[in-house]
Amino acid sequence: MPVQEAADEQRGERRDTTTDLPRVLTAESRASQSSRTELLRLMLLARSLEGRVLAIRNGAAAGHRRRARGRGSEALVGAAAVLGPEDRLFAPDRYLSAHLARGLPPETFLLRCLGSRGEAPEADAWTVGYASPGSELIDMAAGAALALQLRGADGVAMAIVPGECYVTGHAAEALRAARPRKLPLVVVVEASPTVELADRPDDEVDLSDVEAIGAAARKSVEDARHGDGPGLLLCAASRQAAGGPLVNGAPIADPIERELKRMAVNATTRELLRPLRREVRAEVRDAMRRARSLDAYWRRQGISTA
Amino acid sequence: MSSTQVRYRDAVAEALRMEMHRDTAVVLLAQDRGPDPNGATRGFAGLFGERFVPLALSGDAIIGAAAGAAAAGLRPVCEIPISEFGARALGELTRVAELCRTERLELPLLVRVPLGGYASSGAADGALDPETWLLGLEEIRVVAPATPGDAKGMTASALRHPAPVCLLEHEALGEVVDTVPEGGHRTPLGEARIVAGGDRLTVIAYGPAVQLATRAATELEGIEVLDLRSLQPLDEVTILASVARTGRVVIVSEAGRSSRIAGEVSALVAERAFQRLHAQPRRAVIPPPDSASLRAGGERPRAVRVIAEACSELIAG
Repeated sequence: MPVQEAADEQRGERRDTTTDLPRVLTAESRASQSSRTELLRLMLLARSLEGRVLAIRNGAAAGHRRRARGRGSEALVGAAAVLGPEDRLFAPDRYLSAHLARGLPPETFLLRCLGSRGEAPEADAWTVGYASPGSELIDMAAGAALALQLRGADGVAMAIVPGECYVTGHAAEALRAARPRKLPLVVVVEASPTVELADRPDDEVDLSDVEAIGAAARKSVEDARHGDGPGLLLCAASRQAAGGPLVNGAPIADPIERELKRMAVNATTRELLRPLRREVRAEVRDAMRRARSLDAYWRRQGISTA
Repeated sequence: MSSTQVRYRDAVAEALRMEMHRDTAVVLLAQDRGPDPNGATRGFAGLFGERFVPLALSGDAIIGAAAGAAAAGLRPVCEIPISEFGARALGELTRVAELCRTERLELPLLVRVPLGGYASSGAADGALDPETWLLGLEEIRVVAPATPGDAKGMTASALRHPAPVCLLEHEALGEVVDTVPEGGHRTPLGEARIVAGGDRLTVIAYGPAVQLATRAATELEGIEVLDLRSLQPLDEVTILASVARTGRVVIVSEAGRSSRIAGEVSALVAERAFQRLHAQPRRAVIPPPDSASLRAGGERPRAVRVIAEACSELIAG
């Protein structure tokens, strides 16, 4: 019996939640206004959720104050958005927008950050992400790519990792192992300007440009899917820079602002943003309510859902 | 079920072969420069083709890749040479355990953990005690078969378990020959085994120390020898029942005194069977073999003497 059939048979009881995952950026819709709006919504949602978590944490009597870890890297949603239902994503929690694109329920993120996971709705079973810096997620993505290849599946495994994980050598090692086997693996590195990659990236794009990231990621994913082997995509900027320090004397463009400007050719930014912000605010409020109702910890702590 | 005499490493190979024939989701991930921990899977490349996967990866990366393959529907077996099984590999296992806990993932993978490097490369080797590092990673089962029969049975059971399992394979046991049931033999993963019955004192050991404890027990009367087999979780019922019967316990440790399995078992007995004890629990830390005993075939008379003396002192009160 082929590996594919046997594995399916033995894992028959496992819930596959990927079939209805959204593929935000399809080949046809990439430049369309609706897909841009969806990408923008996901970036706004990620920023808003993380901001909400930080506000609660930083207002708490105990514990240490935290900075936004994912702020400025929301445009990486462009990479995750090109993945299909059969693909796998391995990324740390800080790339929340990527996880949201893969169907992570917002309340699951809130519960994970602020309390126990309680009875949170399960995230996409094929999307792995947690608070680790992420270097081992590259190894895992390589293993998943191997499994997909052995099973004869059409999927691609993608790892999104920060540059500091790349320099530990894990990505170079995984790519070296993946190349001779032509594994369907794509490694996306979010790098500060000082990171030097041991491997020459297949493409290099601006971290604040969600559409450029999406286009480059789509090419890498499709190449990997068609048997051309692994891809390495560098998204260069400083993660800390958005709304913060300068890089090379100039402020780094905010990915949300940048996308808004691009979309505002035929409409004012305010007209575009107002309904979206309203929608995102409502979504965060609902997620907080659901999270609170699901987790006894929150109820005990009296954490407000307002 | 009939049985035959089989070497320890051949028993592991037999179980792997049978499970790979039974379940085509089982794949072997090995370092491409090999060899595997004890030569058990030599020839598997010819038998299983693409399911024998040599990778140009370090030991820790192989464990990470196996976790990813498990998340994508396979049941990988990791083969890492002893020289590669260091702190980084154990760190990767820690991450795997964290993923299983925080993401509630079931990652069915088997890691063959080589230990006891002194047996193959000299008395100076073997300073790393992986079993000690693995304690506390509750999402990972840790088993240490001491006989070829258990090696076969526990390997087969590990390959049907839904979560990660570390199979500790001590180099000193690789050539041990014993009776092994033929066919699809399986040993439960969480159960200890009474090797020899007695009513005056319980000696608790695992891995190659079980043989040493058994030899020490023959020098005294009424000694019960208990083979832990499962280090995580411990078979508390069997341990406590034995200690309740004998009232005295010596826990043999080859890995040192502090923060080891022996300390954990000692704490368990003190907490849960204190009223039944006639004497305080005792840890017997056996010395690693020196070059002379390795040259003499690994008899380790010093270790046997340490166990026997600990037992005698405790019985004498």
